Amino acid sequence: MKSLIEVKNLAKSYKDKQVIHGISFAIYEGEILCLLGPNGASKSTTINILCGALGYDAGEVTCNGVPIDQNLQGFKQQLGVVPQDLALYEDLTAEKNVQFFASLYGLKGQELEAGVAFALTSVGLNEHRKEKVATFSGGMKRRLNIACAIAHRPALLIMDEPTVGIDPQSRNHILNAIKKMQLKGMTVLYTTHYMEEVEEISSRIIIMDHGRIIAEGTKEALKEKNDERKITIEISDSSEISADAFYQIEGVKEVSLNEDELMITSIKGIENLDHIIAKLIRLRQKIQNIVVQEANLETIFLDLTGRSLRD
Amino acid sequence: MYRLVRIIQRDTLNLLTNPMWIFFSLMFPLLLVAILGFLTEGLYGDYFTSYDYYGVTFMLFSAMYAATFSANSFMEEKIKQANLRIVYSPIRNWFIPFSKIVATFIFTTIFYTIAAVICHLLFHIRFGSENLLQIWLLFIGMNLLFSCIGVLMCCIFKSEGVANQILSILTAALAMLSGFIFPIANLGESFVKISRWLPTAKVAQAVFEMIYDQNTASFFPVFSLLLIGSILILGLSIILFRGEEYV
Repeated sequence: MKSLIEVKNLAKSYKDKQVIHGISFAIYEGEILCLLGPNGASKSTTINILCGALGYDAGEVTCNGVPIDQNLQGFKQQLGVVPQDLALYEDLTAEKNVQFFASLYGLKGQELEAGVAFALTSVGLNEHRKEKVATFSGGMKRRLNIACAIAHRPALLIMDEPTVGIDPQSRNHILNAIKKMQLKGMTVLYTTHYMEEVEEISSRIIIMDHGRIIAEGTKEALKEKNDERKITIEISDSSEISADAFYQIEGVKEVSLNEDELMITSIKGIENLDHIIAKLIRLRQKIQNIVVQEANLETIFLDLTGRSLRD
Repeated sequence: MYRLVRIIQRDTLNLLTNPMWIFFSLMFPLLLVAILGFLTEGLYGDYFTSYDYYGVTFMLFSAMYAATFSANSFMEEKIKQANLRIVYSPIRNWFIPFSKIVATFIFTTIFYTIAAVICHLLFHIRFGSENLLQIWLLFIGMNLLFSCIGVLMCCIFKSEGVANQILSILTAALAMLSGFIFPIANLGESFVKISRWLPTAKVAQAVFEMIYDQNTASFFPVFSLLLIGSILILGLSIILFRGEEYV
């Protein structure tokens, strides 16, 4: 795959505090790259540097091999940016908003009208084009926020948490729109807190924490690296059993007892559930419920950073 | 050029469609002239009334408030986010402060001109008849200078709130020292000396000379001073402005 953007040893400080510590990564043409990280991971700072809106202290950012600083306006022409906060004029109609922002990319006349129609249709707002933004719901505003970034059909769409605080219906609309845009050849850089969104749309994932990249790969590859699964069993009386009894079972890494719950961390790929159940039956326990949780992005993230994504 | 024109159009329309700002720009000079004109009516003569004095000085004082409008249109919270999207677009950085100045200048020129006409009709204030164009140019020159100052303050302090706090102090001090609120001679010789150096006081003096002495000698130097000051401040704002202030 050909890389559209390459970031090498990027570093950024605010006064004395370094917020990005020499990160390197690439964005490949046609992919949806998800940037994951909790608050304070420097995702937004990274994105603002990639948008050309923030300077940086060290490193290099290139687009098709050319440093972005050499032709910043030419680079920005290829970008569509969806900021985290709504960047709209509330007093204007949806159509006028998209028209204005698209015109800043040089669109005029029929080209502008076609761009506006494309953008509003893509996010499902064409029927509401003549309505004022002030009358829109939160979800509709979020969708319009995206429309304003795509009317000029950018090569790279940068989206900074575009689904924050919206209803599931609007979220689905947005995610479907992103998938359609990818099919049309658009490259997308997407940041979010929501794992389910990453699961649904990502071609590749970069996990950031404290201004560093701590993992990178496809979701399958990241899950593959995590070799654990968690087994939670509701039992009748945990006071009558000891955790040590379960360490003898092959693949068991960690056992903990909590009131009426037995939690076992086991190595993935070793089928030991029948042995665990047999042991509980021998210990005269009544099994009320069993939940087996394979590694997901949330648990991977927790393992890597020691904190949850929404922290 | 197309993109610059689009931004100026948008910024101007943002100001022209804000009822609060329209109300303020029309009512502020009207109320000041009405109240101070009425309260000090007995202190002035029949030929040169208190309304004539405050009509001129408070229109100039209002022109100084162009700084507040430009600071608001530059960094006011509601507009800031939409401005951020302009920063992301492929335009030259200087378009942003330049556009805010032009938009504020257009807005204040329109509404202060309307306010001056209303003042003239209501209080029979003399704004000069033979030299009306030059006087109007000096008023809008003040608008331009203070539109630039508002943007410069935002570029320096990176916050509309801080910029406006400083601008309030600055405009009040300049208005007082320029004799806009009461004749500066009342404060003593030292203040009169300071006043002589202030461009705002020079504008007021030039306007009064043109109205009552038909003397236009000061017009060109004062107007040039306002233009040069505006250009310098605009240049400084463009140098100081960084798009990342919106981020």
